[in-house]
Amino acid sequence: MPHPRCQIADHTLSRRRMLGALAGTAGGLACGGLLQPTFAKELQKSDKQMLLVWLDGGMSQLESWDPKPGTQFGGPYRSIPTSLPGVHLSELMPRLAKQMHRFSLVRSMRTEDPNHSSGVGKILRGHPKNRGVEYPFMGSAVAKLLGPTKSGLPPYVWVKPGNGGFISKHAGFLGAKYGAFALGNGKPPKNLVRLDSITVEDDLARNALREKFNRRYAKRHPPNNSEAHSYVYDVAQTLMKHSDLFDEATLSDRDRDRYGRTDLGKHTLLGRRLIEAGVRFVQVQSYGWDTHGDNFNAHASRVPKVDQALSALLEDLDERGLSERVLVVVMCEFGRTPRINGSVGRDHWPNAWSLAMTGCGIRPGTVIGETNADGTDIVGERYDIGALFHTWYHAIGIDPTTTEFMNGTQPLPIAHDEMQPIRELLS
Amino acid sequence: MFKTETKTPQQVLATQADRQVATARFHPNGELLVTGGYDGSLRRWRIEKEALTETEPIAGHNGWIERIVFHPDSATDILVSSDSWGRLMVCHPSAENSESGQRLWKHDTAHDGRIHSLTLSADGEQIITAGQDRYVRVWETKTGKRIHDLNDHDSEVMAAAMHPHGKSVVAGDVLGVVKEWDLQSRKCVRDLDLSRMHFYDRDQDVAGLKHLRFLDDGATLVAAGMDPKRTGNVNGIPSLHFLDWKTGAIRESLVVGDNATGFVFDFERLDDGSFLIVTSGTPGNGRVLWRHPDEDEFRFEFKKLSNCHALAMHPDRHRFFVSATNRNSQGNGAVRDKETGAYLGNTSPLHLFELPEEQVQ
Repeated sequence: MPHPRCQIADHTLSRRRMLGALAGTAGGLACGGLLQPTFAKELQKSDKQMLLVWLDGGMSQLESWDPKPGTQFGGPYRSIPTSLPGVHLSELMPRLAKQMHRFSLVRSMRTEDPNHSSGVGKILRGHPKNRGVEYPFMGSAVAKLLGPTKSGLPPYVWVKPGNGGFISKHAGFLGAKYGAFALGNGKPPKNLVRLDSITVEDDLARNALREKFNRRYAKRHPPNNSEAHSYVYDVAQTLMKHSDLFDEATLSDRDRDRYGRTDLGKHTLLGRRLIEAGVRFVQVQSYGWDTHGDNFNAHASRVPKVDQALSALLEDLDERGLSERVLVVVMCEFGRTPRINGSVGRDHWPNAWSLAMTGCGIRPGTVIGETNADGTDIVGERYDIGALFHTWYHAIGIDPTTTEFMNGTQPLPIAHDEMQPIRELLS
Repeated sequence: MFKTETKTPQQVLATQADRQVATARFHPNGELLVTGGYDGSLRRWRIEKEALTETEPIAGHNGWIERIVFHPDSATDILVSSDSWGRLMVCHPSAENSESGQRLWKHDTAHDGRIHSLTLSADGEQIITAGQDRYVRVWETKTGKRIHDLNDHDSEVMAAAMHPHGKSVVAGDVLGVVKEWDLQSRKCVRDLDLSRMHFYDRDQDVAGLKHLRFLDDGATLVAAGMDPKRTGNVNGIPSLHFLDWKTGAIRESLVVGDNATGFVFDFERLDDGSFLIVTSGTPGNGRVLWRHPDEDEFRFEFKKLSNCHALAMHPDRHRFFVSATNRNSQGNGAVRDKETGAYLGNTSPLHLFELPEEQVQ
């Protein structure tokens, strides 16, 4: 039975198939969503990348980044010291505690929406003002702002449990082309590899025929429609050249063990490989964090998987020199109530929650903001997700005060125009 | 006092603890009720005339106190308690002084982290603990000496008990693997399958097992909790499984609710073989249940309480105590005190019930 405050639909996202989704949204493609050309050219030079670990449903800040042991709302677990003097994490995060000096926390997040259905969108869109348009999710926005890397791989790849496909609705007004290329269960799209029964020559001939039809189609339709259709085929062809990314035989046992042989572990390892291969924005998703019941046993099961996968990722990015140009963010749509409910769970809490980040010019070992002694309120300045979008855009080399999206002829700010980056986080 | 002539259990007292109560037990002398909860203190309630009167709590714990147990001999006046930070403590609960003068001994790190299970041997001379660190440990009650250190589980150990013959310990983990340990050799001699009490989905293991307890002089092992069906907003089928100790197989299962009913958090078997059970589910569901395994119907199904977590049987076997949670304990908003604006936590209404006289003859 779903929680009365959560409907089933709140916990699911569209899984429309790639081409179906494109066909269904073709009408929206004509809106454009082009960057102002002067900025676009400049931005192409950037080689910054981003990896978002999204814990869907809402991880408890009290069982992770902002523990309050020994208080009324602190729960059963202890806190442990970290490599950063004076900073403690939950005992469920022993590996990350040893790496606290590598990343940064914001413990003073206050956002507006306690509902999954609308909260996910607001956080992942940076909650800009309502301007009558649907803003893109962060992955689509970065895909548009920075474009693909030279690898030719899709700029926005979403590694998730469940089904995959091309999720165009993430793109909002930018148009379907900037949607998420979702790898369901970390697997490539079905039928990606050319069948043995089709020769290379036949395959080339078929593609040539398809391109001819596409050109004919493009003459009679708005350009973005055909662009998006062609894009999907181009992406598929590029992915075919990188099929080793999905070949489990290329994974070392050591890496599998380090990241953990869980969905999150496997998907974070794939995320690292996708970043190394040149994907601009990777979103690694974990579902099921909506712990209204049995919250503490749930976090005892879940948080160590985040701890393991994320600490391995941080080590690897650092070891490979990638942390200088890859921004890693770990967040969810809100935190969980300090009050422990009758089902030994915690409910939805956007009032005072935490998120973490590292790399790409984020000053490591920085802890921004604090909550009061028992974790019920923020002490001092509080931050909305809009300020974090400003911060992250700065980190990946985009000035959100001068860069705009173009929705047709309508210029739109890329982040909430009344907010500022958190300067203490930027080197 | 409290005698009634009715056919069903009657609620004879109700009071309120200002913090949530996770466990409760009566002193064998029948005069003292001790509760443990989310405030890290052992709270003492004296049953006087027609009221529960709280006296000074016993300090010394941290985090949550989820398990307490009395030595069966009332003359020893020994209470064993454990907390979620790994502390195991033995004290004289009737002592007036709440400071360390009443404490026999304590181990600050009896386990590394949360102690999920605390039971005594049949004679009360040994303590069996198990927890987050995957260890099962046996201690001497009066001295605190560690006698056995058993570690072969692949996940947190949720429940443990010593067989009445005292030669083996049984322990069940998150994955529903129940191990029998031979205490002479300190080796695991067999695994029993309670995998139906484990559910894995979306990177979450749900542990359905809350209690293991021997009945019938050790011929039957009861596993109580839930057969989980869903993660996150956890739910499943609340059940008691009766295992034949000789074969290790589940002989019978007593299903006591549906997906919303939640976990069997606590239970007690009465002399006629019937069970008193409390459950806590979501949202706001909780039951006080009375059921005999051979009967199709519940003798008593009390739905007026919300999220019941503890059941304590009085030594007179006539009265029992239930801790619940205040109604409307769930929800996303911030509940604040109207006058001070302070953010409010949940509380535990405490209820004393009385069984009908003829049912306990």
